[in-house]
Amino acid sequence: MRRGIKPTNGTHSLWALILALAVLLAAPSARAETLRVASKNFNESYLLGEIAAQLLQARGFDVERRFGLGGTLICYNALVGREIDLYVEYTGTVAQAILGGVADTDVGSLNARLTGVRLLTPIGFNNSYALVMRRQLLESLGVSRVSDLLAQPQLDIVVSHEFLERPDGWPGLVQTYALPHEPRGIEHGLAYQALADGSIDVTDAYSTDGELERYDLALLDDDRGFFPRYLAAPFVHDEVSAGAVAALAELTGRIDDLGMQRLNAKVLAGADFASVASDFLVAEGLVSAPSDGAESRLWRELRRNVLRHLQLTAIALGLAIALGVGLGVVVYRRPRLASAVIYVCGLLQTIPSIALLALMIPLFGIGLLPAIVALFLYALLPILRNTVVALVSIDGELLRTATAIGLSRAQRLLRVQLPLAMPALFAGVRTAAVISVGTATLAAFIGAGGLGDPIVTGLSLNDTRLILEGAVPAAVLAILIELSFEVLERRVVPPPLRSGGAG
Amino acid sequence: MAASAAVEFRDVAKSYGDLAVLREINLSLPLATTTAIVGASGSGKTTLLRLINALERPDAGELFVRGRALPVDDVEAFRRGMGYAVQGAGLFPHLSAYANIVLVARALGQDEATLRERALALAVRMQLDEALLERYPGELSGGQQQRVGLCRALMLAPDLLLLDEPFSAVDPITRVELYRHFEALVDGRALSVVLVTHDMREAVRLAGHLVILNAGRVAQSGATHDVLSAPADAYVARLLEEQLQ
Repeated sequence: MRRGIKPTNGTHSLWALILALAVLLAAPSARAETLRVASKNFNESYLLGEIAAQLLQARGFDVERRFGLGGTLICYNALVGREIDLYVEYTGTVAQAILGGVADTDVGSLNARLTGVRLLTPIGFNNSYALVMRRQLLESLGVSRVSDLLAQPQLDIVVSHEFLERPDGWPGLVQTYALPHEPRGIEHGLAYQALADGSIDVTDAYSTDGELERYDLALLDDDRGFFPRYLAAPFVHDEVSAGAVAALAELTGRIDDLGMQRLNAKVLAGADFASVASDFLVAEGLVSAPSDGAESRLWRELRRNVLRHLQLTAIALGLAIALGVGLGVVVYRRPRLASAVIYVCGLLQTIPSIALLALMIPLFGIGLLPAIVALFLYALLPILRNTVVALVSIDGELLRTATAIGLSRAQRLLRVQLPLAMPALFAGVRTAAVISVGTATLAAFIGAGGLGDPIVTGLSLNDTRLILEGAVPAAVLAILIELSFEVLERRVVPPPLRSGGAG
Repeated sequence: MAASAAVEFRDVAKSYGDLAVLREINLSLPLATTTAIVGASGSGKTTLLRLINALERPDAGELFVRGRALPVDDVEAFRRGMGYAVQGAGLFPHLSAYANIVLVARALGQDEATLRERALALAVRMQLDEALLERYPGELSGGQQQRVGLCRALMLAPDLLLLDEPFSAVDPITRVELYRHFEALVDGRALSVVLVTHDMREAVRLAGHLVILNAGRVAQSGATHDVLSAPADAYVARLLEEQLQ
């Protein structure tokens, strides 16, 4: 007779499982004394973030990496909101993008205008706009400064479209130096190649670009100090401990323009951030030796990313099941609500995932919470829709019988309607789970971590190996989740209702 | 108040929209007797049954079940006081035969040992093997399903049993077996049964009291032998003649 009570037990164990998973996965994030190190989503920022992270780890701090955040304002707001503890920012960016264009760009006067956050002493290099030429041409013409170009009107200057327009680009430059040239615009990505093969003579660049080293290009000295200075410095909030600040201060003066170019060039040549950072720290004597090999780092990262990915998915899915099924029952009982609710959920589904994630930032900041909310909203529709459809399609005669034999409304729901709806409901949960695992990879864009982290980093680096480091486990995870749902279905759905089951 | 009838209808009428299903129903169904409600499809017999367990409400008139006027306050407890079985058994496909039988009792929180004892006793009376109770309805024959349905209807030991064509979805041989099971079930018990059927032979075989419906009105109501010997009108006479020859 034991089979008779199985369905109810199965439902209970599903909830117990979800709850246990949520608690288990929520636990690791509640650790103390952790520094959350962030970066923006371009190579140099990743690399500096990784250097800071490894240095702090070597000095005994626990570090959580929130790399690849989508832009200055996201990073700044996260720092102000204490959702991250530090990232490396540029003095010029603070002056322009954060403080709205102040003239004084030295760290002291910038800090005087900031509240709750501050820049530490700059690391050394200046990542600003610069004009560049082939080293060979530069030497043969005997030029070294921007003012030297006055005597070389024959040079073909071709700059990026953005540089051509920006007031701190060509228009300002030509005023300061009274250059006679008529520059053309070019797509920035093509300019280095064009410069290297001699089809153009001068272009604009960032002074620490790895390509400068790679193509053997040389910078023209900004001898009239026209370009604003973009000195890189750790950017922290005021609650970061003195110990951490002292550790970061060890970076001061360690990297000049050429040094940064070389580090960037290594990344361009295909080395991963972690090993470039670790090689640098060892070479500088800041860290004694790599704390562990690449292999165990890979596994550690993988485990951390998978756990975070599961955490994201499980919490979002758990919430979506609770609300989706509940809402489904309400909607089923009030058919006039049904179309409106399903319409709204459907509308949410049409928002591209990356946009929905971005929309969460003003509401919930960055990190785990906005990602969970976005994933939850995505998972809601399949669960809600399947719940409603499943309840509606139950045979009316069976429901009348359930009423006639004296079951109350709640008893009908729990003992008849939900069990009968279980197969379709389960299919909805399964769909939602697979969607969540996939979409969760995008959550890395808003600093939620997970398997999207290596993918986002790999995309910005065009590093296939790194992309696969995230994509393969994500695919495997999706398959495993699919399989475990099959197992779970066998426990939760009564045999006669299973696809291919008896009856 | 001691009831003199199992169910009493006084000037009851029921319509669905413009369609009058039952009109001027005045009936007194005797206690501890099987009453068959006989009529053609659309005569209103299923609606009559659903009025008794408050699945439907009358538009006019009064209705008493065991002396209690409807509607009652606690309709679920009221319904649990009556057994209910329908054509095709109405078993829940996700529950085993056993779980179907004990569904309501279990929902009421009765202890499992008592449940089991009572369910097995009913199964024995219905000649249902204990192993069959482990099966899901889809794994049982039509006759077995109907017997499980009857066990479920009797699980809470009701004194009133409502049956809506419970024997019509099975083959003739199985049907006769089911009649025997049913007779064994009601024999010697103070059980009032209201049996809705379109089969006059079945009605005559199983019921001590007949109610014949014709287009929403009572054509005749009385003890079976009285109806057989003195049909009230031409419709009843023709029905008896056509179906019982």
